[in-house]
Amino acid sequence: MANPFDDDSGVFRVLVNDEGQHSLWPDFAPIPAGWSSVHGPAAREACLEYVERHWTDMRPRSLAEAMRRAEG
Amino acid sequence: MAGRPAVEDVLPLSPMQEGMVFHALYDAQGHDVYAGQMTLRLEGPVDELFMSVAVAKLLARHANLRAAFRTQRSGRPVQVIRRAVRTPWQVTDLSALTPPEREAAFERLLADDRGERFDLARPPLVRFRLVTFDERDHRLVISSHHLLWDGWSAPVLVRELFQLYARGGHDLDTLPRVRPYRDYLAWLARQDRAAAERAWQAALAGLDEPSLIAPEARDLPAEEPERHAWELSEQDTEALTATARAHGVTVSTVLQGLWAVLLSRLTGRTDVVLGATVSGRDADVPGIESMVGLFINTLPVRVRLRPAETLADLLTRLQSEQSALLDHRHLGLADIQRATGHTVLFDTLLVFESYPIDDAGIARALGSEDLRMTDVSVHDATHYPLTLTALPGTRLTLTLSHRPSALDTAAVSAIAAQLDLLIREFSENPATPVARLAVTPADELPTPDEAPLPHPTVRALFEDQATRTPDAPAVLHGDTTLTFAELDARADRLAAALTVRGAGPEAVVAVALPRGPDLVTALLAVLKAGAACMPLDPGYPPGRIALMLDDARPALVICDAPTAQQLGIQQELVCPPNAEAAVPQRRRPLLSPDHPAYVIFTSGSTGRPKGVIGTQRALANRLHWGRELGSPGGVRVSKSPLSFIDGLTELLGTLVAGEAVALADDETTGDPKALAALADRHGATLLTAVPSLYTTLVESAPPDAFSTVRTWISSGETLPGELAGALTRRWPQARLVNLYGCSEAAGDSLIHVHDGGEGTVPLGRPIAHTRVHVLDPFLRPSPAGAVGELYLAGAGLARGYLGRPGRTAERFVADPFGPPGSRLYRTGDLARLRTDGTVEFLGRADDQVKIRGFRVEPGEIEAAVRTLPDVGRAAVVATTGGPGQDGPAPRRLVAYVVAVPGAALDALALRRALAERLPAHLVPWAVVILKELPLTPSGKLDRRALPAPDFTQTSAYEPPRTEPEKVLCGLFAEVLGLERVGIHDDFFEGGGDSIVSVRLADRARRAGLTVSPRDVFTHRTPAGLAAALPDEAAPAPEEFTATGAPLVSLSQSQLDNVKARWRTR
Repeated sequence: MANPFDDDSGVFRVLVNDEGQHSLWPDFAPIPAGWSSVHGPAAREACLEYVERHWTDMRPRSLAEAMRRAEG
Repeated sequence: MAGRPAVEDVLPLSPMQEGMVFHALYDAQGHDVYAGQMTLRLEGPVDELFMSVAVAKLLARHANLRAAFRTQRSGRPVQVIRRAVRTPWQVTDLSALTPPEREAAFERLLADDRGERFDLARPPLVRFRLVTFDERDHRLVISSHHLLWDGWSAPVLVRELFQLYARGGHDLDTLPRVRPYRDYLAWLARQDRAAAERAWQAALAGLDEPSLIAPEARDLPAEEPERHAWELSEQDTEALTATARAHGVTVSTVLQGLWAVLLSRLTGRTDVVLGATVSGRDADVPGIESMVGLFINTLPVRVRLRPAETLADLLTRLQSEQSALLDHRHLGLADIQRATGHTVLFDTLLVFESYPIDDAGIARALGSEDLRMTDVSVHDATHYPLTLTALPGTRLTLTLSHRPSALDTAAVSAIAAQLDLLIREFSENPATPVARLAVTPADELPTPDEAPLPHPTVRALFEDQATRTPDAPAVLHGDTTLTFAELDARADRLAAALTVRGAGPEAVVAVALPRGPDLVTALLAVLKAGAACMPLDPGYPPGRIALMLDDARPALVICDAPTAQQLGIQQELVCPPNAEAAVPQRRRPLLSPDHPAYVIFTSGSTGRPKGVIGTQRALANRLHWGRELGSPGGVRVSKSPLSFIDGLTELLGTLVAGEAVALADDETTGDPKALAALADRHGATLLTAVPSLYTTLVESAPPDAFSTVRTWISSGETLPGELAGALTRRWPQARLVNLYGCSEAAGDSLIHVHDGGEGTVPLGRPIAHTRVHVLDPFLRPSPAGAVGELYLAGAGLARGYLGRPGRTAERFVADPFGPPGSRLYRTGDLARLRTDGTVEFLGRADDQVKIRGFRVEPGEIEAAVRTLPDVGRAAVVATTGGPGQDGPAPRRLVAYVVAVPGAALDALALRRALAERLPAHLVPWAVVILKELPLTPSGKLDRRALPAPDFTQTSAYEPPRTEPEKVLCGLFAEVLGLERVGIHDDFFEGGGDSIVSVRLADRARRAGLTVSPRDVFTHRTPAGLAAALPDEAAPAPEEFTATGAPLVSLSQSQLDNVKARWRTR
């Protein structure tokens, strides 16, 4: 079965939610609530590169902030 | 009829006729799906004699109505035209009955008539029957074999019949001369087959797989189809026609395109093929439109769906792709399949009928004001699981005929509703992109009221339990028992030491200890310190461990000094399991449910294992939910390998439930007798195992074993229905629970309690705070019963993959169905939903396989194989062939390897090299050297063409010399599934493994030979085992030692490691 996320020739976006979590997303599908596009439409590889470059802290944003507050 | 029947002509068959003759011969007993029945209702007086003469005249006019079908001595089927045949005419008078009785009698008559098979060798293959209800109400029933004529012929035939009737059977000068069917066959013979084959090859190039909605139906006998028919309203019909016209496409193309969209939802594919019946009346044969005969052909229509393309663009493209094939539609389906290398292409058929029997023409033919034809009904059949027939008119009539054994009525109604919706969508908004076409909403399943998780961290769940039942037993190991209070205190001490050494939230602490009280203490201590635990199996190759440590960068590793040295762990990271804090513990850091609780490595397709970081919330949710699996005062066995998520949930789940965990020594886990001894000794009530171990338990567990068990949990791989049945028959006191899940979602997401249902046990329904979705390739919910990919959502989702944001972003994706901003994990498993929401497992979307419950990415092993010298190409597949043929065939990994040009490879050397690099469960069971990898027509690996590993070639055969050797050689062959085994043939070289060794030992014991699984591992060959047999001739029946200590004890991982080492010698 062809999964749209594995389609090497597909057109994708990179979505991000409020927690800073990133999601690859096929461009043909409507963007789900609570997510916004930060990259694309672009090729799959380009989108994954964007994710690798920008999602450097995989902790949810609210957790990272709470930890910073606790330290500070 | 005077004289002997004379043959008028002998003709070849058209491609369609060949297909039908094949089906008729293939299944000569069952229902003949190619028998058709047409009923005409006639109002007014009917002259029986005139009508019978008209029938006779009709058969005299059309040679092909007198055809018989025979096979020549060469095997080639031909049609033999008789000069004359008897007139197939019968009359039934029902007028003496009451009107309701007439209807009932008529229905019976029709059914009986349908049940009467035509004998292809005895013409005519047509029957006419006039049934009189009263003098002004008649039915003319025309039954025929489809070999004679197609639907497009019916109006011609009926019109001619009535013309002949009206003229008292005289056709001279009143009817045009019949153009014979042989003219059409001659035209067929003139067509350019080579060009047609090329055109079809181009049309189907790159097609991977057929589009089958009921693959299992192909092997079922023919049956009478059921029907679901509905009409579009006049307005809807008009809107459809107008929109089609506006875009320059035919209604037939529209239906093909929409059917393709539907098919993609049902099959989960975007490149689909449907069958379409074409009239064949566009052949360049003069007068073909008024000929009677079989001209239709059934051809593949391939549709590649592009998600962003609009429906209108798709249909325009489809029409132009189809027009390129117009000149090549004479090629038969079998020829197309042969030319394109496919054995099957589709199992759904679309018939766009454009032959309404037009009343005006018939009325003119009857030529009588008094007699009128008022109704026509056609009973036609198909061997396809699902056929859509469209009959144009002011109201488009659609009929879905389905084989009841392949599809149930509910599924067909759902398909009809989907199609209806798609037709409306096209008429109203043809600019909708394909991926955004509406789907009928799935029936909303009630969401159970779920209480919020009381403690969203594992340590809180455990400590809460320890406070409630401080004196209850928590850990049982040999003669040692730890109460909850003792365990809690020990874990607190170690946790303080860990905290002092820098462990805390967001840190990873590795644990490399044998299964014992120290291991339990260590895992709890890590969680108490707020860190994530990463269990490590010290039996893994050091290189592999190094990769994992490199990825996870643990703050500490809890292990003893020898293990630290063996694994090459830096001294400053090592924390002994008995460490205590020199200074009193500081206040514990706050722990958020979003902090990690575990790091578990799984097989990675790119050649490197990947670490899943699971959250506190996820693990706490799974453990808290899992309390209901057991019972108060229960004892659960911990035996699954700790480096897999199931090992963690099994152990911690017991403690959180307030039950005692009985620790199986690593030596006990794979051996049914040792396991039974452990379970009986501790009164175990719950045990988790993979199906392959259950097979062994059912077969080899001692009598009375496991009598205290109340719950079996099966997990890790597909649970066959037969095994579930055997297990519940052997232990009727225990329920059988099937769990499904993965490390990415805290181990378990779906549960099914076996209810005796047949077939493979389903995955079931979601556990607490968990949602599942089965989605099609356009990310919309698949209809119930259709194949889609399984996605998980809810509290169980992990944070992602350690240090791999890209990989995380492609597997943990935005959730269109959950709360805003939530995520879905796509499992890569294919599944379908039952209407009650139960999920069934259907395989993998990718190449991942499960071997004895272990998740394996063949890509990872392929990558490892390719790093070896002189290896060119490599493919790793899971096979079920070979040993174990007497039980459910176990799945094993086989590596197929092609050398670089000019190099020579040695299979044993390759296996040895792999065993040094990979953990045992990833080491291929066999390595096969090939000259080249077989490929499919589309250039992918042709798995079916891969040869089975041949173990008979490994050594020279030496026959047995003694009676025990003879018995052992026979048993070796039996359990390994080999034809014969010589006395020096190695058990492991022959494909044996730990589970098969248990089976071998069991059979040997029954044959009176004292052989244990360990003996099999030590001695390996029939000669070796025979030599090691004890001297006494009559061995005592198998017994457990008084202490309950097993006679044989090796853990699965030890066995696997031993095996990997041995087989590489």
